[in-house]
Amino acid sequence: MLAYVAKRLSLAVGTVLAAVLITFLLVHAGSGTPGAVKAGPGATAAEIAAQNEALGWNQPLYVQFFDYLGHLFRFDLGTSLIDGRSIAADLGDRLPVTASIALFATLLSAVVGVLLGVTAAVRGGRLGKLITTGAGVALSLPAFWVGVIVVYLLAIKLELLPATGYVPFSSDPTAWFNSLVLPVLTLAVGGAAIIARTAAAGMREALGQEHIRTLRAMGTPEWRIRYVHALRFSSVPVVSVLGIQFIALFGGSVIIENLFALPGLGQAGQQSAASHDFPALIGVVIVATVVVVVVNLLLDLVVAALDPKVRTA
Amino acid sequence: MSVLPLDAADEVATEPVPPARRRGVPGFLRRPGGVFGAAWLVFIIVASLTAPLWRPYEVTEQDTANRLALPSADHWFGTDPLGRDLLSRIFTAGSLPLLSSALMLVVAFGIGLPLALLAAERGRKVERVTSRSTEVLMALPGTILLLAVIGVIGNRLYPVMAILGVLISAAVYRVMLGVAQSVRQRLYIDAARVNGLGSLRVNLLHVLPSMATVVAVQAAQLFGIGLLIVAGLAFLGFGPGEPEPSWGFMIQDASGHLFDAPWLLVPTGVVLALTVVAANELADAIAGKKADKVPARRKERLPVAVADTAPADPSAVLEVRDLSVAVDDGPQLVTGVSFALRPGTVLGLVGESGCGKTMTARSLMGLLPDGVSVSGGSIRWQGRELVGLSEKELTAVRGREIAMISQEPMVALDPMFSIAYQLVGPIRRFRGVGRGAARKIAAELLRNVGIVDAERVLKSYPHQLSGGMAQRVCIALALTGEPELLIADEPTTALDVTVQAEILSLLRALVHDTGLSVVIVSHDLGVVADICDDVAVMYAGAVVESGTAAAVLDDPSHPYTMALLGANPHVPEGEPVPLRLASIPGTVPPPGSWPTGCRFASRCQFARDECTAPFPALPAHGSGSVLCIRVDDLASTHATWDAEPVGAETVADAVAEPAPTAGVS
Amino acid sequence: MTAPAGATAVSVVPPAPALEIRDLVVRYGSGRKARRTAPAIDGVSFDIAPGETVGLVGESGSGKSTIGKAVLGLQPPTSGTVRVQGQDITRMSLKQRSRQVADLRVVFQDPYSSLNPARTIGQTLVEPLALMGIKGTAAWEKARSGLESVGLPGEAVDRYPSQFSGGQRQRIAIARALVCDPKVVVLDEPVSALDLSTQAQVLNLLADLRDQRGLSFLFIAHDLGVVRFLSQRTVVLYRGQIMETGPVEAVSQAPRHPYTVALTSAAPVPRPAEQAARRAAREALGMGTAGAASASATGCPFVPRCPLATDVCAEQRPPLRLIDDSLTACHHAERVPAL
Repeated sequence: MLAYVAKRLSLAVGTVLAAVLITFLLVHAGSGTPGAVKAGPGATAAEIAAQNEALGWNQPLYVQFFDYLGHLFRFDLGTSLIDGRSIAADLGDRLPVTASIALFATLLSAVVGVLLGVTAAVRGGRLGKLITTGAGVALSLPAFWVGVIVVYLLAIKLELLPATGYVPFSSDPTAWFNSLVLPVLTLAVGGAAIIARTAAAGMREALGQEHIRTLRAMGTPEWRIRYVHALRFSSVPVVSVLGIQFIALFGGSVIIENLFALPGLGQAGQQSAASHDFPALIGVVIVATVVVVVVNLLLDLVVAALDPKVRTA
Repeated sequence: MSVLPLDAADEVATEPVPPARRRGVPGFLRRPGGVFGAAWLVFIIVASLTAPLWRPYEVTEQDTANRLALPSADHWFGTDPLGRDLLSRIFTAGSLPLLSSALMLVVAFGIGLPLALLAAERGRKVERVTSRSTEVLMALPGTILLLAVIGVIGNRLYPVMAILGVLISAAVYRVMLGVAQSVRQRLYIDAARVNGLGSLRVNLLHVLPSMATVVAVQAAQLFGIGLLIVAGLAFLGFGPGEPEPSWGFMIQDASGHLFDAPWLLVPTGVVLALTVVAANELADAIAGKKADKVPARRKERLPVAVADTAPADPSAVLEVRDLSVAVDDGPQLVTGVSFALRPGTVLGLVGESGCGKTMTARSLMGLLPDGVSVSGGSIRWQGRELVGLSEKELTAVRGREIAMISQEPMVALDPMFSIAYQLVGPIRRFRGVGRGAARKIAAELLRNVGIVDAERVLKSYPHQLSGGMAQRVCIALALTGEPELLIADEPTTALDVTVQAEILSLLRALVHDTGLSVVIVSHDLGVVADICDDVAVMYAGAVVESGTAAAVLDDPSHPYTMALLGANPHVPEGEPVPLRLASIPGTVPPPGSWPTGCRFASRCQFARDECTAPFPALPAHGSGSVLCIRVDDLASTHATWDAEPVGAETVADAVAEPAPTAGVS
Repeated sequence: MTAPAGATAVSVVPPAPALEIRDLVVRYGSGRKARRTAPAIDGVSFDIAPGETVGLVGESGSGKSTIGKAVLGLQPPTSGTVRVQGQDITRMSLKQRSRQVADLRVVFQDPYSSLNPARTIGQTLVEPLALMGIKGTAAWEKARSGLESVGLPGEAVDRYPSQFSGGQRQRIAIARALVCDPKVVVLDEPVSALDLSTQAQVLNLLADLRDQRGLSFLFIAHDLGVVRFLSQRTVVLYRGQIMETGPVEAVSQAPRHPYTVALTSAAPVPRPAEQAARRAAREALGMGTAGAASASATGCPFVPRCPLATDVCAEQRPPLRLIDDSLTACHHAERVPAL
């Protein structure tokens, strides 16, 4: 168990370091320089060179890298090339927005997906077919298109919820909640579909296991066979997919934030990419990686709690 | 944006498509989803790539009088805010996402597949390195990383999608590694290596073809994901710039006109969604996943007409009369099986695979597989008819009166729960005791089945037990309800011979000490000789000979029993080993193609013309029976089943029809 | 090497063994953890003479299949040597082996997994021939006659494995091993996946082929009865070590090692009266439960289950010594009760 946690933990640290290294190298491999971005369009070559010199761009690569790492350990992500603001502070403001959307969407898709998947596997018949087919279509739908339709139906036609915009929790919790409903719904459609398929496949596999036959032969009540034994058996693949799903939802938030005009990490990523704000880009990737890695680490612990083979290894 | 299809390998049968079928229509084109998927993808690819040749309008051509128009004869899909034709724009926009997704696939498989083959071949050291690095790659938030790429290299979609291919190659690797490893475990790989085939040829000729299905499934799924990502990037403004059309930007454009022209959302969205759905449907169809064949709801068993006969043998605790088991709307698996079990005795059902012995045993508890049911006859248990009982009534019998142990003790226990949990539950249910008392009883039961360190075993999980230990636990579990009948389906087949002897001794002690009755299914005549009082020899779904074990095994009447005994290489003490073993030519006929009359006639040394007409079972061995019309002839001539002469086995044998691989065994 | 005194009278030099295994050690895995655990194969030596069949028996985990893999080159040995017809092949790659010594082939246990379902029987049979330089019609002719020699029609070359039953597939696997005219064939549990009547067909076939072609078999099996039918000599393996080896009749009828006694007495015979007597005899032996606590690294591996074990057994690993006709690794072989 300890070895398992240690292994997962080292993998998590390795992932974050890899993210730093990859983005750092990426920025340096490109043809653009931060000086050119900072000096703005129309700047002379001399101005750009001066800016690059000031930013330390001309130092050896490893010096810059370890310099960056050093700042990173002090939670310093540098300043934006565009507006000069502290990137760490900016992303700190944005993180709660994205995190709450991704978290709520993951939870919602987990609950809905498991309910639908288990129903499909257990009930079978026409309902099962409907759920399986519906999930197959739902996971293929582009999230941004679904989002626009959801806005059209719920915000414009029915006028139930605000179409776009974000209200911080501290200023008005109800409005905050309302502003999250549509983005979360939009993201959860595809997520729930994937979880439903995983859960249905897992349950079907579980119900075909030899040990389920043993339970039947022991006269075990059917509800116990399904909801204690088979569900537990299928929970491990569902949790594993949930981890991958969180990564996907976190990435999907880029589009959702654009669509619903939410000031989150994804929006920052989009704007930094459009304006070639290199330090901000690296910052977004690092923060996103850390969040994803932490959530996956927690899910690894859940898997260990669920699966005795992992726990007793 | 969407999820990586990591589950592809779990859901796909990695067997290559049997070539017999390959000559006709591929299997995936026989499913509606597969037909739709393939047809739409071909259509969209052809239509998009040829769009410049047939589109009714140029993509930049503005019909200023017809802005935001609904579909009409001039503009089939309507027009956009600048009055440009949507049909022309949608199909012109298609080639970029389709081609760049294809590029992504090429890169992802170009990296992931060879890496997986390499890791599977080179073993743990290489695999550890590659797997760790791909795990890191997979844990990165891909979409956000992609934004960073765009920030550096700009809106150049092909290089961006190639880099996405690198990121996704980690997922490809992970799925392909699992498949490649399982393919490499197949013995034909080892056989090819022993033949001296080089690594490249082993991979190309043997490993890759067996992975083709999974590759196709994952490629189709990833293709759909690629399309979504390209469209998503364009939606964010990272696509081809105006006035060039792109699916994502057209949807972005439409979202700005939700109030005045909601229609604008429909054509582009539907084409994009249909294309992704088509890719996923194709993947499902190739995987052979029967989305449309979800198992039907468990239906209540139809009551079977039961011949209400008074028990012929009043001393029998279990009496089976004329039992038939059949696939619903399909062939019979078991016909006219009759036997009686006296209390405190052991009855063996013996025969080769496919003879129906397991189906017979499982029908005693109403535990036949889905789609198979008792089609006639009677099972009387302690004077009560079990055939036709509802699932609920049978549940009350199971565990309490009749219990079962199975062939594979290692998988018969729930891997997710401790032994204590699995024993305490039934003990509480059957005996109405509290948790503490139940745990004490569980420990005692384990000691009764010969487990010395019961406390340690109670705390363990199934994967921590050896096969013999697991079978003991299974027996203890079966005893929790203090049943009077135990059905043991090949209980020792998976075990070593010394462990088998121990388990048989344990079963014998239980019969002796508790008066338990046992029906044991076995293919091993030695096991039958060891533990059974009575035996029923089965062949092709029927009992061909029954009687006491001593009578049947020492003095067999049916040619099949004789042949089985002659084929057994275990000779009696002091006798020399025969130079040749008796064997039976040909194979057991599968259900559905049993001949009339004697089903063994076509393989029997003693068959005559009269054997092919139906005839009844004759009494034999006292209370037993024999199903052979020539039994008296054979007895009077002291016929024995002789081994064929040396060299007979190398005489060309007729090739059988495709081996029966029905889902029933 | 000079011939020992007295050997001059012998005019015929004894032929080199078809297969020679010397001090074979196989460890799985690497690193400190692997070095701490007992090796899968721990110093095994035996020979197979030309035309001879040696049965390798033991329970699961005894290492019998590992020896087969080490001989075939599928599992590199940690130390020791394997020679085929006097040629050391221990360190040869599989490719080199097939080029230089086409004398070693294999038949595996599971006939369903040992034939590639996507390739015709002909393609499967021709594959090794192509590597030996036999190509085109000659190879296909050989494949056809190979099938006929195992009792299948030559036309079967165009069919796929799915069109054959388990017994027929095993015949095809045998044909694949024999098309290259090997001298030594490793039979890795070739009949344990088959039904009794089919098993008998395949055993008879193997016996016929061996006698017709003078093949040497390394016959790996868990069933002593099957081994007794096909083999001349037996090697009994327990936890990677040889417990007893000798002529098959001696080992199976008058075992001198307690473990061999445990194995033979546990195999049931299909005659109720005789089996009852055997069972009583077995229960009187007082054998320990299988899978009991692991033995000490220095002593005899069978100590935890052995009714005859004394202190010396736990401390000293007994060497193989000749008793009557067989070699036995037991300190107390003389005290082993007769069956």
